[in-house]
Amino acid sequence: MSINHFISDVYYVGLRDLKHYLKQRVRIMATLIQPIIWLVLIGNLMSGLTANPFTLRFLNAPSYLDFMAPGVMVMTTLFTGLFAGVRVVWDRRLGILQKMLSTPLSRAAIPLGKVAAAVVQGNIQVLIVILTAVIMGVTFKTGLAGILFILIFISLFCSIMASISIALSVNIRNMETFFALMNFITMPLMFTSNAMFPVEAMPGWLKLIAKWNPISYAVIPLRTLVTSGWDWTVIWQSLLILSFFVLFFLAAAVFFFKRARA
Amino acid sequence: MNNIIEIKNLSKTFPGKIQAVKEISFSVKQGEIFGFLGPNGAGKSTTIMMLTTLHLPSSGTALVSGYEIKKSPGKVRIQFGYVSQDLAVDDRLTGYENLFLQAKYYHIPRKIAEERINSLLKLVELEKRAKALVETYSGGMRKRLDIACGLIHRPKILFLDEPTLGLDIHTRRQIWQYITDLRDKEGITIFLTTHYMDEADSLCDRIAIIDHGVIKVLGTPRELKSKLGGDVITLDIALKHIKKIPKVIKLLKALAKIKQIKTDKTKITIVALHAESIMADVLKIIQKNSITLEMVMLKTPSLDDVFLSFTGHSLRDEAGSREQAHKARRMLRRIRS
Repeated sequence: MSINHFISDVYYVGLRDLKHYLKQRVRIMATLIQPIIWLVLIGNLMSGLTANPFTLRFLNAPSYLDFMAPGVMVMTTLFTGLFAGVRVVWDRRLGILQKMLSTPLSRAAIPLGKVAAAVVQGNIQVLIVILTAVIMGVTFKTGLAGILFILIFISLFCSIMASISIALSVNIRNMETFFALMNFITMPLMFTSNAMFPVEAMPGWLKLIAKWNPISYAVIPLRTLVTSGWDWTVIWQSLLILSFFVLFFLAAAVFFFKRARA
Repeated sequence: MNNIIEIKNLSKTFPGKIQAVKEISFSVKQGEIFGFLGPNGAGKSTTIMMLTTLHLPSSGTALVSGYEIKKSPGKVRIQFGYVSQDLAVDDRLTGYENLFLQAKYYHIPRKIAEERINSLLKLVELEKRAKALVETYSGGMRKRLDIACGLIHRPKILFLDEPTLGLDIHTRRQIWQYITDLRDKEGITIFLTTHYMDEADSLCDRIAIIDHGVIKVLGTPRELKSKLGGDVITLDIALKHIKKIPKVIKLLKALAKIKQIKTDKTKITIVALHAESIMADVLKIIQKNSITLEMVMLKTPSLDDVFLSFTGHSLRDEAGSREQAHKARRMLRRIRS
């Protein structure tokens, strides 16, 4: 098993998933519209509600829209990442996974390729969110260089979520179970994080949960880049923590995938 | 001829102590079409999945083209092409894309891959539809594409799991023709599973009958039929007289020349040398006991009769496992022809 073969394996597994993604027009439309709904509807509504000095002190941002934009980016990525496992369940049901496993394709390359495809999707979608946010008047304090960093954070976060999704999907045989499990994970994760609401406004117990919520780790650096500026301590810390989780969950995804029965 | 596959005491026990395959041993010769015949759930697919390194055997060994399946799975995987019963082609991609990705999974360089894809598309007569999405293909076209995928790396062995499951009779014959051509022209060894008697009979050089994870008998179709040792008389007793069957059998057994009598529900199968000479006596017994017959038949043995004789039940009555039935239904839904 040479390293060239391994890279080629990851590339073609990922390419296949991306080809599928690009052929799903309805899904692409939905991912285009979803952030617009979040930002335009909820963003505008909450901006009106929170346009007073008292609330803005909690938000630590020019408006709720500025505060919310990084949260929407992370949430969009969360869904895209957690969707990665769907492809494993489908491929297994249709026998395509078994067909792939009977070829010399590296076992580890299959989960890694699927994660890579999810990361590309996540970046496309976050770019759309950023574009929508800019059009709606959100100012990115760190400019274009900041957006580059945002995409790096998004890629790390998307890898974590996609790995978790794949690790969970390997022993699931039907779609209904998978979606139920994903719903069970996403909703509590989202609403106990700092994505939508400032931690400062939360009661003590919720604050504690939000502090340990993995979503918060992705939201904090993004929000810093959008609303405050180049705070390198926050950026380096987040990069380190997220990279550690990426390695951990990628390893977990590969481990569970290799162990699963064909 | 050399043995290209050698299997020794291969067993597979799934969690829950379901023993799907029990200590089977046999070998497949290079260049032959070898058929694995048995009802759903007999252990056919499990055996193929062990040979294709998808399942680890619980015990025993197998050599595929000289490589041991547990010790060097990587080497084994290059030796064979595997066409599962799932019609595992990618709906959302074109036929060409399916083949190209498959070539890349075998690390075939782009130039060579393109050449091979074009010649394979010609072989399975899909050149004109190569750029169309597989979604728009009929069941037979999908199967042909799947077989082409299995051939992309020029394997020595092709594993075909239920190659004609769910296909109409015309398409089935077409697939048989491709399989025979592959063996005749390319010299590829074919290992196929089937639960169709006619498929095994007309396609395979040698057949192994497998039931409940055990190989009951192995040989050429002709050998198996001659093992029965005669012709076959089949009597189908009317359901209302089903209680008289034991008595009739006792009387029949007293007749000379009869080699074997088996019953399967209302059906009595008698194997006898020169069966036509005892037909009159058989009918006399039926008449004396005033039994109504639904059907009487006298014929030279078919594989059906061989199967019944070696397994004690007929192949067609097998209901199959729930998962199997589910799989078949799912697949039929995917086929649009």
